[in-house]
Amino acid sequence: MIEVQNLVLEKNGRRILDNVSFKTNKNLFAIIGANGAGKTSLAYCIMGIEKCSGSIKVDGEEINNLKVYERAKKGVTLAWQIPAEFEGMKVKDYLKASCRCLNLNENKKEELIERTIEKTGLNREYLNREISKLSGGERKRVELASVSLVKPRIIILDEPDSGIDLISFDKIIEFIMELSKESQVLIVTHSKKISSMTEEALLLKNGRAIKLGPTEEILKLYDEVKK
Amino acid sequence: MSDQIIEELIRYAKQSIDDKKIVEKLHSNEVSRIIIHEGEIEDNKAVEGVKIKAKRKSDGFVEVKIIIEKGKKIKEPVYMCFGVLSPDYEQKIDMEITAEDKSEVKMYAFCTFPKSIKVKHIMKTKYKIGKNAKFSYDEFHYHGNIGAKVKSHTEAEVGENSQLTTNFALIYGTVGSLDYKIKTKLKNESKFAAITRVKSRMNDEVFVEESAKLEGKNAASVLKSRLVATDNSKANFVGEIIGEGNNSRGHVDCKEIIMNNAVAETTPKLKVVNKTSRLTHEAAIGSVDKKELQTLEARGLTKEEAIDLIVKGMME
Repeated sequence: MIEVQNLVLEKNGRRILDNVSFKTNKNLFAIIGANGAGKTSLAYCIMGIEKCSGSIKVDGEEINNLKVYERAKKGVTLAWQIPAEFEGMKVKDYLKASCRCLNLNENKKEELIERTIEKTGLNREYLNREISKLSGGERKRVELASVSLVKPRIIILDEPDSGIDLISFDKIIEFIMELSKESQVLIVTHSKKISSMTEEALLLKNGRAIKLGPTEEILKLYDEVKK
Repeated sequence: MSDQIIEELIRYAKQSIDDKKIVEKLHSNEVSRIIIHEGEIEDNKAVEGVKIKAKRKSDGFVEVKIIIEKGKKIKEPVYMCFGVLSPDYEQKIDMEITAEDKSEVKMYAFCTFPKSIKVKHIMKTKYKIGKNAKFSYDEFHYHGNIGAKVKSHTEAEVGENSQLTTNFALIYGTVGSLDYKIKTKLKNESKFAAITRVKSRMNDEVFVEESAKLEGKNAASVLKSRLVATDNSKANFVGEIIGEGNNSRGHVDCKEIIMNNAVAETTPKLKVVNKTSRLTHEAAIGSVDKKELQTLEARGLTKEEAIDLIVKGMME
């Protein structure tokens, strides 16, 4: 369960998020809005990457006073729209770092990493590749594997389908569905296709929460708002 | 006594590299090798196709001459270890390596000064690479917790259609002061790729200069450096390429990360004296990439743990 109350984010005198509040216990949840609506900023505030005022509670516990890594240890993680390049770092080292907090021995961790990378549609050989030498789509899949390995309570996915080709799209959807079995997945998106896999959605416009409700309803409203 | 020294040198050489298995072959009978401790030649053996001669000269230098014979492709790498186990010693090495025509060899050199307080290591090196040869030289340093004063200057001539690859790494422990230069001249169709990786801390001073003169047609070179400077250390990189030959190609790629009060400087120097030559460079100095840091923090790593992992990746 995530509960956000009165989030305000200001940058250079401009209000990016204006008293945003929502609460959801749904495992597939979309944050919808046009470019500049504040979707990614909201995601960054939940993760602690942006500092904002207001309250963010995960399963009733306040986390808005915590640093990024402390929030991660409380079970919140985020996959970027455009993942970092990590020059020289191998995929396996990144994924090992992602699951370092799991209470498993090294062999079990390696098995888990291998299984996870394959679920994203990449084979095990990718583990020895350098992240910076992967294509954007491949890097995106490594990012999804990485958040999955944290085994978090809340996963925020920022535009998970960007950079993903049509052939891999279904695999990614399948992967996200699987993530949602064990974690609450908040998906930042302006894609109808991605949103429609969620149960509930929040519509943002100009930094304000316009409406929270069943995704189907919110998508209709989104169409009207766009007009 | 000699075996004890060699064992100790091998133990400390392992501190200079991630892949410890590489070091284990240093004293193996399968490989050509030379081990010099302070001014003494502790071990010297060559397999077929390799000649190694070493002697102590009256000026205090140890002279090392290595020849890779014409047409010989040496299966196992040639190993070298230059070490000082005392806290205060001036080690001077004068080395010449000749890779004759059509030869192929990979060399590993371990320079280890683990107990250094005032150790000096002076190294003058010449590579003479013939035609159609492949020569690769990987050098790993470990200078202990206080650091040593190292001056390593190399001159290389790369013959027609030959390749020279160098890899210099000083990542673990304290540097002290490092003055590392490699100056190369490349003939027709020859290639030179260099990567230098140094992590400095405390009051270390690092100066790295890589230079390639592309004399021949289609000669090409990539000079790459990755320097991480922390605490109050200073790091300075100069990457120089001169394009003389027709269609010669060169690229300088330098990245420096600075932390705390460290100071970094980088200078790509490109000179073109032939209009068909093309030289490029990219250089970046700054702190650790914010997005990389935040990504790892979002996986539960503290800032310090995240920086260590990012730097480790960059240094690999």
